[in-house]
Amino acid sequence: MHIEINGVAKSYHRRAVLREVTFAAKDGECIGILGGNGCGKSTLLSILAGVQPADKGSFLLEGNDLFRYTKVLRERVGYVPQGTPLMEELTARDNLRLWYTPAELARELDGGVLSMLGVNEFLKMPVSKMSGGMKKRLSIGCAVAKRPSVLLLDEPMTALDLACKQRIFAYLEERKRQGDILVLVTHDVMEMQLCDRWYVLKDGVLAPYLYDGDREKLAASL
Amino acid sequence: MKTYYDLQVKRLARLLPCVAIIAVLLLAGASVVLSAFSQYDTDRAENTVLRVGVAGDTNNPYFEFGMSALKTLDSSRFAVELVAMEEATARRLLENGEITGYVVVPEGFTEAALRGEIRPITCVVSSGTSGMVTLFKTEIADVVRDLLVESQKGVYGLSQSLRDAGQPQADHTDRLALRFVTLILRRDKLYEVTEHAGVDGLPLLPSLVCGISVVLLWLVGMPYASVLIRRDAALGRVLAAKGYTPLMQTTAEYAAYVTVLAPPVYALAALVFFADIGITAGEKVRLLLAALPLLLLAAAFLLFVFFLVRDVVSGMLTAFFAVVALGYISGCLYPLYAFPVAMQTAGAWLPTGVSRRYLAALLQGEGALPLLCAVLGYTALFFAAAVWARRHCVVNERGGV
Repeated sequence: MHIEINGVAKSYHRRAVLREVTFAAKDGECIGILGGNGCGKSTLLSILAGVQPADKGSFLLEGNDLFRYTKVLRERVGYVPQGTPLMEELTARDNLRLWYTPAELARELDGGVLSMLGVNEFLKMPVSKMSGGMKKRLSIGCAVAKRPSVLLLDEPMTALDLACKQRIFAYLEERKRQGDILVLVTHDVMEMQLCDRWYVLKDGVLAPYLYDGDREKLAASL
Repeated sequence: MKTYYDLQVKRLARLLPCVAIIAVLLLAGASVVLSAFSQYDTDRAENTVLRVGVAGDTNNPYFEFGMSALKTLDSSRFAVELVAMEEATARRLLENGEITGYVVVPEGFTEAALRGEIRPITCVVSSGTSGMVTLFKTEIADVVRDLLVESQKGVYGLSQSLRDAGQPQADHTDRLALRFVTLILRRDKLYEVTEHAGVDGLPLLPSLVCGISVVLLWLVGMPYASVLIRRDAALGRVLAAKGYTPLMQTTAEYAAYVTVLAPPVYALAALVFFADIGITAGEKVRLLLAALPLLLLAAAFLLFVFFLVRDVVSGMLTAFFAVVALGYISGCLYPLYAFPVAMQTAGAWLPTGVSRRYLAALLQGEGALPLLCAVLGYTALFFAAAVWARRHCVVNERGGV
């Protein structure tokens, strides 16, 4: 399995946010997208997730353009945006009901992805009473319903404590081992260690970047 | 999408006890406002000089003399100011609330009164000034009685002169005396009272009940702001990514909102059913039936406001001031005729104004269909605006939250 993103462009009111975004990834690979605030990283991810259309370009998965086959896009691509895509007043179980059938939910809680994320620990807890780490694990748990093979994550470990980061890190590592493709928008050093290749988005253009652990050099390039 | 609707109902239903308490408090507040308004109206009627129009056949010299005497000499001048005017002008001024009422003097009234004949004067008052009727009755009866008494004195004087001159008393003087007695006994036939319709053809109290019901309906839905206002667009984005468009999301949330709003609204309506608000049981049933399209409009408007903001407090304040301002301008909280004509026209076509007029038309049993269309039109407009707001939130320029 591999994906190819070719020449994706997006403008708002004649202002080009994305000019030419092209990259590819193969199974088990994690791509890190770096960039300054407001450079269009989240816009790129939301376009790839099908939230908004691209002005031009294609998103190929095994040769099929997912921008045209939106049904396949919804089945094969999981998306974890910034913020909390959860209903705060309801429990974890209620939130999961939106994305899983009862049979799927039972299966995933019993040794499946939800048990890997440790969602069982707070299944009956209202989201409003959860810690940031619990919310993020639950958000990822919702996003991976139907087992998508491509996972788009927008700063998944931001503002979490080390233990939470470690747990999410371990889960994402496992996804890589299983052959899924991860695309991460990140500023976090730990998230960057998960990535196999990095790209910097600047002035709407995505360029490859070789991260060698030098954060000053990275900051200068953004 | 049904699961999403079910979950929205579950979220919103958690607030039902809070909403029920607020609904009862609002109803109690509305009752206080209505009774205070009624008291104020009574006090105003008792303490101010009433401006009354006099229309019809007022060109007779005797009548003009009588009017002049009433204006300058009679003790009633401290309570009533009489102003001669055309009937059409009087009607317009009454509708605008610039006069308390007017009397229409029939053709040949003075000549007939001098002959001892009765031609009823029509007193026209608005529903809010119906207390004027008693005053009019007394004043008119006193004036006519004085005319008759003076005439009768003339008859007795003539009779006495004839007797003093040794002339036989004519039969017609006896007939005149008898007519005097008859007239005094039939003084209640001297006047007719017509009550001019108040606001939208309804008396004042039912009209205010319509207006306040609309504002109450719009306010009852406000506590749900804490659930419906989204602090970020994350859930909307994930739903959109899974094929639930902003239209589908808004539809599910709107349907859930209407579902949970209906019980407190109908509970309030049921309370109104048992209250004495000057309308019949049949009219109350029509009010209950009418609540549904008004409920749809209120929910669409509030949903639109809640989708525009990102903070619960600012959302509730925005919704509250919007509802109160719209309600006030469109005559839901105060009679519309108290405002300038341009404002009356605009206020009548605002969403709250249309809702109030729709309720009033239902109570009168006529002309409700065009207003129902306007209510549904506004509902569609606000729903479309809510979809736009949700879409803007999900797909904004930044792409982030």
